[in-house]
Amino acid sequence: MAKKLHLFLFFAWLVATVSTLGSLFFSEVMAFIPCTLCWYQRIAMYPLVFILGQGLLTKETTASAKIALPIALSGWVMAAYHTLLHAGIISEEAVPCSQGVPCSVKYIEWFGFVSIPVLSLAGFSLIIGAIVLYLRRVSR
Amino acid sequence: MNQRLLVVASVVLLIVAFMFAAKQYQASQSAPTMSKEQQARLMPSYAPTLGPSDAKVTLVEFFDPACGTCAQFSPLTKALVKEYGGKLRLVLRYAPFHEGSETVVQMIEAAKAQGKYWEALSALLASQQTWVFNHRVFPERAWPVLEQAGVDIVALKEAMKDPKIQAIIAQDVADGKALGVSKTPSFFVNGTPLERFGYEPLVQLIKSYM
Repeated sequence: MAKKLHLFLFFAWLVATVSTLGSLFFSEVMAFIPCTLCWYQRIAMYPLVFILGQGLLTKETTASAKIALPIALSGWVMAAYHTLLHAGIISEEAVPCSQGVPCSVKYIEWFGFVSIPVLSLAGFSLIIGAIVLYLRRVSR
Repeated sequence: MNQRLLVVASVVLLIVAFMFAAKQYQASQSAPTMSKEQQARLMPSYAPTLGPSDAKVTLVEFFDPACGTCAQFSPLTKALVKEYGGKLRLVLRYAPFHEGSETVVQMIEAAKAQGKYWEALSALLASQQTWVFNHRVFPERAWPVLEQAGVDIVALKEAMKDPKIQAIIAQDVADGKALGVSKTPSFFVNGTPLERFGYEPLVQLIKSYM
């Protein structure tokens, strides 16, 4: 039984790792400059790789999931805010963005709606979903 | 145990995939092409230049007077013009990305009327730490620097009101945008953007046109 449970957490870790490498690809390889909001989301995403990874490699799986959850939630909130900003529902003035790259700039737009904040929001949603599923199974 | 293997294997696989994708991407980007419209925007007649107009190689530099790397590069590019004696020309364009930079650009441009353009520019870049702190620009701290460089401050303040200066800055900013300038300094050698940033790559690119 234990093995199946961990698949959820492995999935969450995989999403976090792919998101981390993906964001690094955008900034380091494609040379997109991350805006302030992107940095806040990175701050929430990058540690998940290590926290969940450590949980999977040791026996502290449940503990790692519990630590990762609030971090992922805070990242989700920022990604949601950023997505709303891109969608034009929140105006740029309300954004904590300094000189440089305004957070309303869109670098990519796949299929007409997939921008970087949308990818981030999807990533955090998947991670939160997987962690919640895992924790519910464990507590049962 | 299986799980550990899965995690470690995934890490290795993902990193290899990342490096492969990065290589692929760089290979697909390595041939920078500039349209004719972009080329036309590189060197407007008003832009300050150093070196003869019939030089074989023209180096266009987009810079921000408040940018630290620009201050470091400025003496290097000037030395290059000297070194190539008559074969290299430097054209300066403004990319005032820092808040407050524009005022300093106005000061430099206004010094032209007194024939003190290069004096004002090098004095400001050399003393950048006295008027830029933590990427914040304090233009009022630039006055004493200019005064020491022999600029008449009263006349300079009057000259700064010239609407032509605003127009020049606006044109430079617009051209920078059109040319994809997002960092300073940004270099173009005979119309080719410097791809890998650094002094050595810049010298190599210049040499390739000599």
